[in-house]
Amino acid sequence: YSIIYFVSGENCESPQFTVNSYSTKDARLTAESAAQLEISVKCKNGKQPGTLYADINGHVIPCAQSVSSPGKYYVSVATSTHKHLAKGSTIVKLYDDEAYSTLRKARTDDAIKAVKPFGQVELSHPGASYGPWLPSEFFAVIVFGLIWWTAYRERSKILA
Amino acid sequence: MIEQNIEIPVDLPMKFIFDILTPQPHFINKQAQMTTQRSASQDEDLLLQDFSRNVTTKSWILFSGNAAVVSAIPLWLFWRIHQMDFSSYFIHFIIGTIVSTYFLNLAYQNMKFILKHKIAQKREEAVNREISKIFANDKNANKKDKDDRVLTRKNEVADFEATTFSIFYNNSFYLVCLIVLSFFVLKNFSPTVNYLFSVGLSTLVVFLFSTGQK
Repeated sequence: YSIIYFVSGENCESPQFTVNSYSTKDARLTAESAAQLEISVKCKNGKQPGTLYADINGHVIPCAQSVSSPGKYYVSVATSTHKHLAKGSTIVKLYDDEAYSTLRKARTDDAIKAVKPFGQVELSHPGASYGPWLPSEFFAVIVFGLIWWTAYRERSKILA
Repeated sequence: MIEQNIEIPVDLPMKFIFDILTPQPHFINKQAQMTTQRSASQDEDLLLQDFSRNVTTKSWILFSGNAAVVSAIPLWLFWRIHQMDFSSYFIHFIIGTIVSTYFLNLAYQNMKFILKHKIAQKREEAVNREISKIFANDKNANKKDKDDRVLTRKNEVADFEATTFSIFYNNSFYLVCLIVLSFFVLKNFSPTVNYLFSVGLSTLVVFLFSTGQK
C-alpha cells in the first residue's frame, strides 16, 4: 500500500506584512546609525513561516522571533557611519527556510537574483539630523540685543 | 528744539493703569480751582514735585509690580532650560527674586529722575503749543494761569514718559545681561552658581548703569 501524504497548508500563503521600524534620529550625539524592524506576518491559512531571513543592507541574517507573540519577527542593523544607512525607503527582502536554502545553493549572481523571496518590506529611514546650525540662545541674544540697542539709542537722544 | 506733535502718544495699557491710580480732574474745574485758590504753598509744592527724587505711591506701585514681574521671568528660563526644579531650589529663587526686585525698583527710580528733566526740556515746546491752543478761546485767562497750567502738564507728561521709558530700558538691559551671563559666560558652571551669579551680576550692572548720566 502506498502512503500518500497530503501536505496541505504547511506553508504560509499570501503573506501580509506590517512593519514597525525605528532608526537613529540624532546624528550629533551618536557615532553609528542603527535601525530595527518589527515585521508582523499574517498568512491566509493561519500558519507562520518557521524562520525568516532578511536581506538587509547586503547581509542576509536570520530574524529573531518573539516567544510571547508569534508572528512578529525582529531584525536590526547597525552601520559604521551615518551615511551608510540610506535615507528614505530601502527594500528588505525576506526569505523563509526553502528560499534561504535555495539562496545558499546559488553560486552566481544571476542565480541569486532568480531566487524568489518570501516577501519584501520597506525600511523607511527619515535620516539622522545634526540639529540646528545655530543654538537658540544665539537668536534670543540677537533679538533682545536689538531691542536693548533701540532703547539705548533713544536714551542717548534724550540725554543728549 | 525738536519738532513734536501736539498729541503726545501714550501707551494704552500703561495710561489705563496711570489713570486709575490718579483720577484726572476735568480741565474746567481745574482752571476754576486755580484762579480762585492760588497760594504760595501750591507753587512750592509744584516746584518741589518737579525736583524731588521721591516717587509718589502710584509710581512706586507701578515700579514694584514691573520689577517683580521682570524678576520672575528668568525663573521660568532656569526651571525649563537649566532643569532647576522648584522644590530643591526655591530658596535660591526667592532670595534672587527679592534682591533683583529691590534693586530693579531703585534702578527704575534713578533713571526716571535723570530722564524726567531732560524730557521736560524737550517736550516744553509741544506742551506750550497744546496749552496755547486750549487757552486761545478763553479771554479771561491771564499769563500766570497759563504758565501754571503749562508747568503742571509738562510735569505730568515728563513724569509719565520718564517712568515708562525707564521701565522699558531697564527691563531690556536686565534681560540682555541675564541671557548673556547665563547662557554664554556661566554656561558650564553648576546651576546654583549660574542662577545666583547671573541674577546678581545683571541686577548689579543695571543698578550701576542707572545712576549714570550719559
